[in-house]
Amino acid sequence: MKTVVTLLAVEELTVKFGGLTAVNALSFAVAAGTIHGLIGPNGAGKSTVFNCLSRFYEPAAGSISFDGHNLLNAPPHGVVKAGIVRTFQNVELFRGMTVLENVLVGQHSTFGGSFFQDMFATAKARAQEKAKREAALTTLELLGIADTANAYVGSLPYGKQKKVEVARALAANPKLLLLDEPAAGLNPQETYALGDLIVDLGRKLGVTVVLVEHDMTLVMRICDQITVMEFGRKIASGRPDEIRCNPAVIKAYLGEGEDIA
Amino acid sequence: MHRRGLLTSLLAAAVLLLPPQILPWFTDCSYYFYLIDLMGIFAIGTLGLGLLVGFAGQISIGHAAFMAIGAFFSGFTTLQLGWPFWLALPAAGLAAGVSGFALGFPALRLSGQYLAIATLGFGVAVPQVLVKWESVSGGFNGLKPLAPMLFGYKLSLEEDYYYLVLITLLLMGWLARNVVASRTGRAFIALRDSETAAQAMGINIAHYKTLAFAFSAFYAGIAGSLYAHLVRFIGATDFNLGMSVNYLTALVVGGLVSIPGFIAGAAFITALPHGVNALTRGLPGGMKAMAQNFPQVLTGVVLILVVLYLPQGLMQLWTGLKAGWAAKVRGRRGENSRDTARG
Repeated sequence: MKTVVTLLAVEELTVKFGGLTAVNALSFAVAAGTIHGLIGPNGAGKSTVFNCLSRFYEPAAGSISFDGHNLLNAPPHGVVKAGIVRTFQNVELFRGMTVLENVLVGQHSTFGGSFFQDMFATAKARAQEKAKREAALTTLELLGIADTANAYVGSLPYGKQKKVEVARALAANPKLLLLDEPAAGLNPQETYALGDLIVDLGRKLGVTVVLVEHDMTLVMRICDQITVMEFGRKIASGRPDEIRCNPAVIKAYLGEGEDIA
Repeated sequence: MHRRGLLTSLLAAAVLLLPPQILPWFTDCSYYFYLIDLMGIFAIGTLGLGLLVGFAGQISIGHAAFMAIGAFFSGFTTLQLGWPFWLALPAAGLAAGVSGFALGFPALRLSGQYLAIATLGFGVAVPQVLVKWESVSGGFNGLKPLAPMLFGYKLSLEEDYYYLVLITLLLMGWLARNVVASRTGRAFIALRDSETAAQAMGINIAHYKTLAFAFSAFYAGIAGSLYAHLVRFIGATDFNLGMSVNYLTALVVGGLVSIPGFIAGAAFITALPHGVNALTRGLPGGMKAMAQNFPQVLTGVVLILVVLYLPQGLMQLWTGLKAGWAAKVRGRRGENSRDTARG
C-alpha cells in the first residue's frame, strides 16, 4: 500500500470580517498527489479559504502547514516559492501582455539574477530569458494552446483564457495547484475536457490539486476526496460516493423537505 | 539582406552624426541645435516617466521635481564641490533615483487619484524647498552651471552638446528597452494590469513599485543634469507643475507604452511652443500679446485631440501609415497576379 503523505494541513482555520465569521474552525488535509474538492453553496467560505492559502487574508485563528512548513510565515508573494499557486474565479490575466508573456510572469519566482543584469541585458540574463521562453512554450503545448502564444489574452475566447491562467500557474512549477471554479463559464463539453486535463496534469506533473467548483458532475468525476462547507463550517468530508449520499450535504444544497401535515 | 542592414545603419549614423559638423558652415543653427538638445533631454525624462506610468501603472504628476533634484545636484556639486561633470551626471541620476525610491513608499499605500495628489504635492514642494535652501540652490538667483568639460574639450557649443545628449539618449533608450523586455518589465506590466494576480505569481509588489519610482526618477535626474549644463542657468521655479504636465502630455502623445513613442512625444511637446513663437513673431504687438499663452492652450488642445482620436499616441499614426502602405503594396501585387492569371 502507498504511504499517504499529507501535503497541506489546515487546522481550526477561522477568518472574520468584522462581526462576520466567514470561515469557522475549518480543518482539512490534502494528501500529496490527489485531487481534493472543496464544495459548498454560495457564501460557504470556499474562496475565503483560497485567499488564506494565497495569504491575501490573515486568519483570525488556526494554522496552515504546507509541505512541513508554517505557511502563515510566508508573505503573499512568497507563497509561490513555497510551492502553491492559484487561478482566479474571474480570470485575472494581464491584459497588456501576450499569452506567452503571461506564462512568463508565472515563472517570475523561478528567475535568478538581479535587476542590473536585466537592465544591461547581460549574456546570462539573455540566456535565461531564452530558456524560460522555451519552457513557457512547452507549458502552452501541454495545454494545447501553443498556437495562441503571441496573441493578446483579451482577444481569446473565455475558455482559452481560463487555460492560459492554468498554464501561467503551472509555469511556476507548483506542488499544489489551487483552481477556483475552473469550469465556470464553460459548456459541458469544455468542462468534460477540462476534467480530463486536470487529472492528466496531476499524473504527468505530479501536481496536487485543490478545486473549488460548483459543477458537481466534474467534482464527483475527478476528485479523490471532497470537503463540504456551509456557512464557514465543514459539514462533511470523504470520497465522492460518500458525499453524494450524505444527508447533511443534500440538506445544504437542496434545503430540508417540509413535512406535509 | 545583411548588406542592406549595414547600409541602413551607416545612413542612420550619418544622419545623426554629421549635421552638427556640416550645417554650421552654411548658416547659424545653434538655436536649432539648442532645441534638438532640449528635445533629447526631455525625451530622456519622458522615457523614465513612461516606464513608471505607462508600464508600471503608477501615476506621477510632479515628475519635474526629480528633474530639479538632478539639475541642482549637478549644479551644486560641479560649482561648489568642484566635481567633474562626468561624475556629477550619473550621481545626479542616482540622487534623483534615491528620492524616487523614497517617494515610492507612500505609493505602496496609495493608488489612482490619491497617488496623483501625493505626487502632485511632491512636485509642488520640491521647488519651494529648493528656493529656500539658498546655500544649495542659490535661492531666487538660481545657479549658473558651467559648460561641461569632457576629455579636455569644453562642450559650450550646442552643436557639440548634441553628441552628449544623443549618446545619453541612446544609452538610456537601450536600458529602457532591456528592462521592458525582461522579467522586470513584465513584473511592471503585471502590477499595472492586476496587482492581485501579480502577487499570486510571486511578484513582490513593494519591491517593484519602489523600483519603478527609483528607476523613473533616475532618468529624470539624468535629464535634469543635462538640462542644467545646457541652459547654464537654473532656477528652482523652472521645474514647476507646468513642466510636469508637459511631461505627462508628452507621454500621452507618445502613446504610453512605446519607447520610440516617448521620444517622439517629448520632441513634439518641446518643439510646440518654439514653433508657435516662430509663427507669431511677425505679428503686430497687440496680437502678439494675445498669442502669448497660445502654446499652453495648444498643448491642452493637442492632449485632448490625442486622447480622443489617437489613444495609442503618435505611434498610432506611424503604424497606421505602415499598415496602409503594406495593404497598398499587397493590393498592387494582388492585381498583378490576377493580370497574369488572366493573360
